[in-house]
Amino acid sequence: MKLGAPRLTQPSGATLVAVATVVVAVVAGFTLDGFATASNFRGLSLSLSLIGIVAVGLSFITICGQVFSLSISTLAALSTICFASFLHLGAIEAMLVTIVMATCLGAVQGFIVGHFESDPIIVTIAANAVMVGAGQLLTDGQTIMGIGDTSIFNATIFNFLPVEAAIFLVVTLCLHVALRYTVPGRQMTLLGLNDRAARISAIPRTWLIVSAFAICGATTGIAGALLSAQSSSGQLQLGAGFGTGAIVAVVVGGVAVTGGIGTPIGAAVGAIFVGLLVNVASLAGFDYSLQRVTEGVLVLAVVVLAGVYSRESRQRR
Amino acid sequence: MTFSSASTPALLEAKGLSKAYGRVTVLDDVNVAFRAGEIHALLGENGAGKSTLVKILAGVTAPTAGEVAGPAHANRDVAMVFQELSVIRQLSVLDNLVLADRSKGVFVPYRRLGRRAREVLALAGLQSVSLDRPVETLSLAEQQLLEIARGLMRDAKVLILDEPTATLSDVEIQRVHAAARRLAETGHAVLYITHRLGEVFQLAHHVTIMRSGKLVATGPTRMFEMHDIISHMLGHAAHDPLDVAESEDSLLEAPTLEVSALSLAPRFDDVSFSGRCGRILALFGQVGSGADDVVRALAGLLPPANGNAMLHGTRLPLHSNAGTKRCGVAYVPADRATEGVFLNASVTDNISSSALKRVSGWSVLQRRKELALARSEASKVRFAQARIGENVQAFSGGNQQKVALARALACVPKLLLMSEPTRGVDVGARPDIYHSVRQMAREGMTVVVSTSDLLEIRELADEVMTMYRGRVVGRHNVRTTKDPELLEEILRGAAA
Repeated sequence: MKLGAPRLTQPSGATLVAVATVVVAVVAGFTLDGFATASNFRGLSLSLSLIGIVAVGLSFITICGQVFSLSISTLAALSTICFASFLHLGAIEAMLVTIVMATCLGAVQGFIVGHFESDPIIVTIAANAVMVGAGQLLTDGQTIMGIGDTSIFNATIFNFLPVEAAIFLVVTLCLHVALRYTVPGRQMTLLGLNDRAARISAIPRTWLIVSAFAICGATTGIAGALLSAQSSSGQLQLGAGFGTGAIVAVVVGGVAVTGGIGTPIGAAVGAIFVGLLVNVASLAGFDYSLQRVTEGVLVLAVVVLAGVYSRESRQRR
Repeated sequence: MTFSSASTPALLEAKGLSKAYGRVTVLDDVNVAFRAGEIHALLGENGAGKSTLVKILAGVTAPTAGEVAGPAHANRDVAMVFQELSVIRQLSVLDNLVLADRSKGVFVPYRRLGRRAREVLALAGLQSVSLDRPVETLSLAEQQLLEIARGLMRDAKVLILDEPTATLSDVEIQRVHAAARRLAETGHAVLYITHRLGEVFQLAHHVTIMRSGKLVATGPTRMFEMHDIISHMLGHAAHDPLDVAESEDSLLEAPTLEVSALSLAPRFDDVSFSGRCGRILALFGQVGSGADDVVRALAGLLPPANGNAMLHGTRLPLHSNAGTKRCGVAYVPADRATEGVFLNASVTDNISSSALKRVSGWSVLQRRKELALARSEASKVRFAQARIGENVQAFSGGNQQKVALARALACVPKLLLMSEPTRGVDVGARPDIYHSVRQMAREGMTVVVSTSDLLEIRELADEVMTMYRGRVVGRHNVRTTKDPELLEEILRGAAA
């Protein structure tokens, strides 16, 4: 009955990943020394929260049927620069300025994709180039040091939940409700399911695509600002892994690249699962290269499984 | 005109061909021969089995029983020219022809093929076209001729032309006719499928008529008159005009829909009509007649160049489908899978999709209202309520169409537009759909459908407007008009 479940009897991709996450966590807790400790939990939640926030926003673009944005890493880097530059106004104020800036940059890309019916991949690659160049001009390649107090974003709630992780949870829940329980959210899902049928139903296509890109921009801005707050600095190399990390999370989280299927919670679960696997791999003694290999193999496995599954369901019909 | 004689040996012959899909027989013991130098017209209503027969003749499908014989079959010398153009628009004329060539090898022998291309283009009546020209710069008729040239490229002796003139204008049609005649003169056998009866008498030497999978008449064209052909096509199943009496003749009210001088070259021209509330009007015409385009234009999906439409005294903004929807127009497209429904979503989500305002407050969806809406709309189209949670993808065409109709009804339209309401819908679901649409009409909705199916008009419509090549031919009360009259109008474009 729920939109997004491919078959009633078939568990959705996100549920499977959630189950896998719990299984991996339990197994690791019993077998790996140092996994089930407060400090590891804090480190783990810190490392996956920022990518998780971006992935939840990116899932809107994917669900809308617009595949991915490839300008996320650069937008995150610009956000760190923006946050550091405005930090003298205060941490919260700098965060708000950053979110507004990133939302606008996202919305502009969405407008080009939606209004001119351009290919989202090409548009975001081009936007990426423009933003890299602009960032270079703005900073002259230097690191911007922010002056101000960022402790509010580096605090730990109740001694175990980092503020980043709390923001990740809140953003995920808000956006999940927005997608599943509001009219524009439903229309985005319909647009991703069948563009032509959506047009015939007179769904405000351009506006929805602009909104999806704006949401993705906003979450990237939040993640960029939080990243900048960790070191009170901003520069173009920061957040370099956000783009691919978010794409991996969205794919692993059961959001269909063809659009219409999947939820922001799925993307969040995907981010948690990937973060967890990387954490386990590093605790198990894998070095950085092997951790990346793990990540890549995981995405390939998901894509192959999804392909096999859709072929089977086609044959059953 | 009769160029052929029975003494010429057949190039291609169908011997007792039958084809069944499951328990449904679509072709039943068909025997027919095609001779060199002959243009052989193959006629029949939609679903008579013409396409199945030619597919078997061309070797695309295998028959269930019987065989295809003749020298052309043995040498695989049968080329099929489909109704939908299969030329590749971005490539040049030469490259399109080269693709049809069957020679193997790593390199394309361009010089030899270029010479051959010039020959076949001349034969197809395209001698003036440069080989380097991109196909997209050719007119529709020239593309159709190029399609024929592609068949000739591999020296096919038998050419099957499937409605080559369906979408062409008069002058263009003459070019296709000339090409077909030239082919016959050079010793090819031309199998010509058409819905335009006029051209049968201009062009064909031999006529074969099919009905419900059977061959009902075959012989030289001179043996047939127009009314013979029509009565063969319809058979004895021709509906008595008086057997549909369900829609009572209520007092005719003032028209609720007034369409005046709608034009969009070259699809339709100067189309004017009115629709009344409670009456179902069918626009009846062959593929390419413009009937479907008029309906899409009213839905705001194909903005017309001229003319306007008034619904209940309000001018419809035909340039935008969001605008027409706001004015109370709902549209059910013919192509369910790509336009009509969201396949990978539940029935509930489909039904609410175009009426989200009705099931939400302050833009927040209310699941209870959504389910209630889905249930009530599903019952209007006689869709099993127990299945409203299921995904539409797995449904039959009939159930998918019910969902598409329920989707449209959920917007509470004043004007319901449908293209081919039951194309690809199983026989069991058709009465349900007809019943629901008639019920809507009785409750005061204005309904306009476009169809190419005569039976559908009998079952569904109160009034019928015939269209031929973008123009309105006539308008009739369905109950007092006989089938042959309607068929003549859509096939020949003139009142009988």
